[in-house]
Formats: sequence, structure tokens, C-alpha cells
Amino acid sequence: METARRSAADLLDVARVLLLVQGSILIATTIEALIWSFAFGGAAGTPVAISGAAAAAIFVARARLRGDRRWPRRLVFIVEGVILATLALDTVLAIALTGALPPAVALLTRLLLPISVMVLLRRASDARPTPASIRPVTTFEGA
Amino acid sequence: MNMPLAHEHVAGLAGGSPLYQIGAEHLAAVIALAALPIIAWLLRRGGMPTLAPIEWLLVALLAGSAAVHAGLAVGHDHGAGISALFVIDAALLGLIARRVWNGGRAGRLGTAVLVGSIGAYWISALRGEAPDQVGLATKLGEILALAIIVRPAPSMRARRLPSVAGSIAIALLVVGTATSSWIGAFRAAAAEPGAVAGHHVHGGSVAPPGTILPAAEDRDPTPGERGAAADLVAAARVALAPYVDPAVAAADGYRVNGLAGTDFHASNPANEHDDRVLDPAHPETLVYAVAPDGRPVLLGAMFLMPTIGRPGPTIGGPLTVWHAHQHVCISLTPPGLTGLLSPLGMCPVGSIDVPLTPEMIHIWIVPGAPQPFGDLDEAWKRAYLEAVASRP
Repeated sequence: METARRSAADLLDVARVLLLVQGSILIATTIEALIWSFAFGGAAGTPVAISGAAAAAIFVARARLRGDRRWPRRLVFIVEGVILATLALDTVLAIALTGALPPAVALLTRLLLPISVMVLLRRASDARPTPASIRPVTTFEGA
Repeated sequence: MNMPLAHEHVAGLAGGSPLYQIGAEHLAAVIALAALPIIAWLLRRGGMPTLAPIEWLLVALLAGSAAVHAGLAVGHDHGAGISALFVIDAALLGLIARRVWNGGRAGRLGTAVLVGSIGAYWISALRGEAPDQVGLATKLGEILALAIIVRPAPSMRARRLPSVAGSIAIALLVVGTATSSWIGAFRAAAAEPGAVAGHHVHGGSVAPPGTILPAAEDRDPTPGERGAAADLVAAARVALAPYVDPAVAAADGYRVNGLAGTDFHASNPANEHDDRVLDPAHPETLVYAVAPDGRPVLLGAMFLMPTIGRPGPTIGGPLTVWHAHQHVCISLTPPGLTGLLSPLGMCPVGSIDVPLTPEMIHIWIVPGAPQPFGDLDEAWKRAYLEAVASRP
């Protein structure tokens, strides 16, 4: 049981660091989107709000991440799902229009990073000791 | 006589900004990084240490950065001094990786070396060295390694201040890396501004982020090319004259709603799909500016090729060089331009990355324009608009 708890804590430790870098990337993206919206007169403003909300969601979920809490994991999964879905669209476009994959850094920050976070959170959830395993062993009277 | 230029460079992604590519001088670093698993396998035969997952990640990141810097020392051609710095950086990163591998802590040396390495990248970019994918990926790995090193120990988790301060420091490093990369990419492109304004690349110059410029021959146009270019501009002046009035343009299908700023592109979807190429009477887009007194001014037109990858006709030789755009972020909610792909690999969330656009060329019909093709000089444009506003 102790090993399982230690393992879950170790995995969450890695996930927290990855989420810190990912949240920081989303902050940088939000700032860039804000600057572009000023630079291009007709630029859409909604992505600024969505990027900012995604950054906030990642940081809130990271701060509240614990083995026995589901909602931070779900919040992270939603953000990662959106990032992965847009990368899928980008990859289809990149292959169709240029015959090449998106740039390497895009694959690192939008494929490797989200998938690593999701796998770590999933494994930490699986490694968490279940209530049944925590319950002390009981013996029947008279046994 | 029309001299075909190197348009295959536009159809592919060569001729684009190095920001989205792997520089040739960084290939040795990529090879060194690829060799790292072999070294890890050899070390494994000597017995593996018992490390926590986060320590394994730290070892991998430090060793990866060490390998890249060792490769840069071989492949970079910035002189012996810079190569020596790469070697020292690689040795120190390798030393720290070994220390963690042996169960020790990266400690202050680890923090100092990583901050120094990231800082050196910032300085290099701010001085105008064009960043590329290898540099960016390495810096992101180093920032991640730093985030591992500076995270509070489990016994310190209850104290929020060190944790928050560390998080803010990492966020600032990420934002700073993105900012310095943008500056480096644009400064590298501005190193030869004439080439960018003319929308073509001579040997040694680079395209700004988001733009693909063909590698053009550094030669003067022939008399025939000059004549063809002059005829094209003259035909465009006659054909576009009615569109000085935006209402006429709107009646012909141009989207002039929201006309504002000094570089307003009013597109005509019907003309974009009519398969006409460089037809002065049917430009795909009109370009307007608004003078300080609010008067709309027709500056010229932008002609767009019907399909991506199809080269535009360079009827004026080096005078009429087409360009394309790459890694443009387009919002889906609602549809619209949201910027360029970040050095960190992301468009704003909810946007997609359009990796390549059809080729396009601008023709400026405004009287006295310093050049009829390429980018219109901003200072000249401002002065012209002020002059328009001062007229009765």
C-alpha cells in the first residue's frame, strides 16, 4: 500500500512540473494573442479569452491536484483534449498542404506534453490505494 | 522574356523563417541527441540506479541538453570562443546529470548552469541570431529541468511562498524565451530590409516569421521585364480607378465593411475562385488605408494564386516576385486571423495553424509610390496619408 501511495505521489510530482511549464506556455500564448489582436485590426479576440482561460484552468488544476480528487484531473483532461484536437486538425492541414508534419516544438508542446500529463494522471489515479485496500483486515468472530 | 525564379522554394517550406525550421548548422546537435539512447543503453549495462520518476526526467533533460550543446560545438560556425562556451556548457550539464544519476542533487550549480544557458540564448536572440526549432526545444527542456530543480522539497510544500515564487520564475522564463525568440526572428529578417521590402531573399538573408520568400537571383531586370511590369501597373491603375470609391468596390463584391487602419485588405470571394491569374481587372483583394481625416484611400491590390503551391507568373522577373505566408493562426470561434504560430509551437487556443497560403503579390497604384510591387514603405505611406488629409 505504501509503495502504491509513493508511486502515485511520484507520478503527480512529475505531472505538476509538466503542468507548470504547460501553463506558462499558455500564458505566453495568451500574451502573444493579445499583441496580435492589436497588431491586426480585424483579429479575432475570442482566442485571447480562451487561451487565458486554459492557462488559468491548468494552474488551478495543478494547485489542487491530489490523488483522491477527480475534478482537477478532469479539468486538465478537458484542456489537453482541446489542445490535442486542434493539433490533429493542424497535422491534417500540414500533411495535406505541405506534405510535412507540424514543427518539432509544436509536436513537443502540443502532443508529447499533453499526452505525458494525461498518462501520468491516469497512472497516478490507478496507483492510488483503493478504499478496499486501505480497510484493515477483519476476522469473523469465532473464526 | 520572363525569367522563371526559384519558385519551388515557395511551394515547399524552404524560404520561410528559420523559426519554424531546423538550421543546417544544428544538424550535428540533432545527431548527438539521437545518439543519447545508445549511451544510456551502454550505461544500463553497468547497473541502473534507483531513482524517482522525476529524477529520471531530470537526468534525461540534462543529458539531452548536454548532447545538443556538444553537437553545437561541432556544427556551429560562430568561432572558437562560442564553441568553447558550448563545450563548457555541455560538460557542466553532463556533470550535473551524472550527479543526479548517482543519487545526488542538482543543487545551486544546476540552477546556475541552466539559468546561464537560457540567458545566453536570450542574449543571442536579442542580438539578432535567428532562433530555430533545435534551440527552442532545448530551451524548453532546460526550463523544464529548472522547474524540477527549483520545486520545493516535500517538507516545504506547506510553505506557499517558495512554491509561488518558483512558479512565477518559470512562467517568466517561458515568456522571456518566447519574446526573445520573436525579437531574434524579426531582427534576423530585418538585417537586410531591402530584401524583405522587395519580397525576395538574397543569399544570406532570412524571411520574417510567417512569410515565405523565394530565393531570387540577385540581378537587374531585363528591358523586357521592365516593360512587362510597367504595362501591368498601368493596366492595374486603369482597372482599379473606379474602386477609389469603396461603395463601388462593395457593389462588385469586395468586403469593405469595417474599413479601418492603414493596411485594410478587402477580399472578393468570387474573384478568389474564378481561376483568373494576375488579371488587373479582377484582383482578388483591394488594399485601402484610412487617412487621418477618415477618408478612405485606395492604395492598390493584392493578387492571389488560385491554389496553394502553384507559382505565380513572374512577368517582371525580379521586379514581380510573389510571396506566400506560413503558420498563420486562424480562429474557429469566430473565423478570423489571430496571429502567427508561436515559437513555443502553439496558436491561441481555439485557433488552427494554416501552414501555407497560396502565393500572392501586391501592386501599388497610389501616385508616387516608391515601388509598385512588394511592401509599401510605411514612412512614405504615413506621409502620403497625411498629405491626403490636408487636402480640401
